[in-house]
Amino acid sequence: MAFHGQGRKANAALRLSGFLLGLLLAAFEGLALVQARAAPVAATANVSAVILAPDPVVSVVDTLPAGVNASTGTVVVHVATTSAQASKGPDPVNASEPAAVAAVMLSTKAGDGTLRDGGLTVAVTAAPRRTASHASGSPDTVNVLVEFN
Amino acid sequence: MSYSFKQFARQVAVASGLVTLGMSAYAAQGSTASASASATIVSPIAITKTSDLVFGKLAVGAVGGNVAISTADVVSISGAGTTVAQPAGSTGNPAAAVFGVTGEAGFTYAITLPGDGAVTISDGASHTMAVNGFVSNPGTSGTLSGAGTDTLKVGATLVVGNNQVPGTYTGTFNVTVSYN
Repeated sequence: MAFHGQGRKANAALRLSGFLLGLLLAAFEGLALVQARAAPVAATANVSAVILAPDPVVSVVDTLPAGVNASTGTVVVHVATTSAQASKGPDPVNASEPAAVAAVMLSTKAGDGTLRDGGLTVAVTAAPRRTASHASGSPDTVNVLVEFN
Repeated sequence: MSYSFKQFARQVAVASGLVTLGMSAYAAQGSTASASASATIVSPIAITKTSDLVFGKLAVGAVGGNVAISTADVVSISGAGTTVAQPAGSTGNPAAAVFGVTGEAGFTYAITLPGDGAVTISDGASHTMAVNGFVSNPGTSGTLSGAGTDTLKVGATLVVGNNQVPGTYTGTFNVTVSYN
């Protein structure tokens, strides 16, 4: 009888210990889950910016045909189109006549230009045309306007 | 009404304590008792990038400046005498970054953004620009919707130097979220 009583007590103690151990493990597991859920999470995004080259700078690369003096000015040409305005040169026909004001068509590179590392060269030609009295031989300027599309 | 993670954790702790007390009583009296323990495992919080932070195209002259993008995708350029400009016809579509946040419905979460000086972008040739002044919407704390989602937008300010070298500058930044 005493042996059986001790056995039951030992058995009960063992079951209780197992239960408590299980409870403890469950508590630790739960704590780990809670901590896992509480952990901060992060995401990464890209950030970008494009710095453009400075505004286009136009310089006279070559002189205009005789009769039109590009001088030091800039020439008005819209690269996106093929039209431009205004130049004036010495009267190519007769210097004794009233000077010509050249209202000319300046032919340029057709269509849009694409700026490369070395820039873009725009060919400009002009043909003087008499339109009004003007001082013969006086230089004039032709302006070129280039802008980003 | 929002329900914070700390409130949840407190309730779990109280429940755990009650169970422990119950077991102590069981052990002391040597009698049989049963207790039920329950726990609700909340959905883990997560964040994913939806779109990047883009400052777009900038024309820069001799004087640099600050280019800010708000969380509403509005660009503003500031700085004394700045020559920085964004070509109207060629903006490069500047936009704030967008993130999606998911987790337990109704929970609030904290948002951590990079601090000043933490993020720079580079053209890959040793030229850099700092990205400071990160802002977000929502601000420092957000609340997950009934569906357990939220959208987080992040803007910042780009510091453009004098005569900043032309090129494409790129970099990355992190946004961190955690349950309150």
